[in-house]
Amino acid sequence: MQVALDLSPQEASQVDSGVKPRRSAIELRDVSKHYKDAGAPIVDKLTLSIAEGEFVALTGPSGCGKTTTLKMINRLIEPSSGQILINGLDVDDLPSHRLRQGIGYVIQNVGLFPHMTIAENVAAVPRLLGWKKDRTANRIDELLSMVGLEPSMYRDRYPRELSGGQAQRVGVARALAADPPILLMDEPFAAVDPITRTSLQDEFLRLQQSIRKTIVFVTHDMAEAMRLADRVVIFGPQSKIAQVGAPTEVLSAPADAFVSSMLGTGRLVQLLSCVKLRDVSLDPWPTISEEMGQDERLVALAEALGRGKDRVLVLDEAKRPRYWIYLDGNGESMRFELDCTLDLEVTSLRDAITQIVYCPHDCAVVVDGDESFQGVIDLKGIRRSLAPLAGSSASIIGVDK
Amino acid sequence: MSGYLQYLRYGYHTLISESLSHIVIVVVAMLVAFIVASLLGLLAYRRSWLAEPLLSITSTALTLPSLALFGLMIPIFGLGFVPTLIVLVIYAVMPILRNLITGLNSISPAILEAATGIGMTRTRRLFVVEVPLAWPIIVTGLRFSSMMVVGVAAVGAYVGGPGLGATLFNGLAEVGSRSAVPEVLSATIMILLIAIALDGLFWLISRLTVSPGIR
Repeated sequence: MQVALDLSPQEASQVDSGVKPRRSAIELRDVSKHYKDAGAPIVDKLTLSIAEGEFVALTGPSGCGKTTTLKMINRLIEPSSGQILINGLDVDDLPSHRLRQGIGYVIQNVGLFPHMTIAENVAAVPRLLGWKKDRTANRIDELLSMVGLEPSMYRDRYPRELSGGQAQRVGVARALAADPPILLMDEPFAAVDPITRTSLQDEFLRLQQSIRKTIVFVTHDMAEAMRLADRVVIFGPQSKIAQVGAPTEVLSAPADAFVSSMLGTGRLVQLLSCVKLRDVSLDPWPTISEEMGQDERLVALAEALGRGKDRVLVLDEAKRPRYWIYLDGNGESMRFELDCTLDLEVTSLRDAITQIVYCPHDCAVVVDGDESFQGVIDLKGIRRSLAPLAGSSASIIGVDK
Repeated sequence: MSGYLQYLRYGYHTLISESLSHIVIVVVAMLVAFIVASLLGLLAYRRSWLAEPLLSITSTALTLPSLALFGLMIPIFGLGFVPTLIVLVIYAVMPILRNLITGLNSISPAILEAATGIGMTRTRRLFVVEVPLAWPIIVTGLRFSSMMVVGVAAVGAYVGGPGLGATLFNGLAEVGSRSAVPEVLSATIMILLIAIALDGLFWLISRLTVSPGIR
């Protein structure tokens, strides 16, 4: 049974490389939890299937059962009835501590062990699993670098010497130590200040791009859920699920008045936050290779002008944008520095709008993870891509249907 | 002053051997008390309903006059080392147990949840997380307990126990004689010195064993 839980992402993807759909990593079947002294159940017949590599956020008002649901997955709370499967195996088949060793766990107050150094904290699970010393040491350095903490600087510090954001990073590193396929996170970013929270969220999203864990994430912050998750589960009153869906689905079509009220007035702004550039179509732009000489540049500029573009983007040999060229008053090409590029995978429409508004140009250059040029986006393009998403709210921002 | 030096000249080896036996009984009592307190503490940890009654017993038991307790031992255990040790252990257990329970209860629930959540068993969590975190409080209990036991051990001479109490009671019994004051004075000074040495020892233990992360 342990084998199945230890399945590393590589092995898992081999298993999964066929054409069959992503199998579910976590499955809740009719799971309920009620306490003797309370009348109504806190979780009532919940059925939910979470796919491998999926990032699911559980959200809703306090007391809605989202944290209870999370804790039933690693059996910190035992369900009153129903069944929970991880990789097809009943969680009750393992001793609870063995089960938990195979699942990463991050909590709100971080819960770092104050008497242990950062290295010892990160090594907690490998030590439980009986890893060799040098393997553990290598893993510690790898993880600390991964979460953006220089190992030589932080390895031997104690938790009290860290800021809230740094402690949270160590908490994530500790949860990832034994490379568990599943990560459970209980309001992990709630205890840090808003600015740190945003940067932690961004970093974590970027990390998730590379590690592709199955993540169940509890938050009361609807905007956070929308920003981070692939799929959002909104718990409603009486422990019923009010809506399940991708953030764009929920934001563009809230299931009922309850969901609408939870989303609040900033719904459209949130929609902008959770639509990434990869989800919209980019516009092409005339480009030219860096190696080209003055003559070719002038020709390219002339062609661009013919298409109504007053400048050409210069790319290096790896297709990375370098700078703009313009035609100056004397008919010579003039170089103009590139002020910003947007990342296709992580930049949201909201961030893109901000950049476009502040940019001297009316459009922004978009690159992929390797910084290679993908296209440009401008406000018109954003309005165009929002039209199908914004639904009934389109009129508010004047999107043409 | 000359009377004091004269006393030391013929009494010093009694003073030294009594100091040594005083230290021995204190150390033995502390060791036994530590074991007893740990077992009781563990019991209170596993059965949380036991913690409250144990805590109130530990605070009220300390108000018992030691002389009365020693007196109670005579009909049961007679005179000598054993009844003294038993009374000392009873006294020593109280502060140790009290701080043990308090220390273990003072750990933040978030840390405990994290420990369980990453897959520690209850026993492992106790020894890897809880005891190290409660350790500064536990050592304080040991330190306080040892101070008290050094003092109470002197009263043990009442039931024929070993230690500096013999010289002390001797001197008190012969108030007015020339040796009375030197005897009481030198025994008291030795008891103080032992107490100071033990205090230093526990300070050192605490420096060496408490993690710098929580010092």
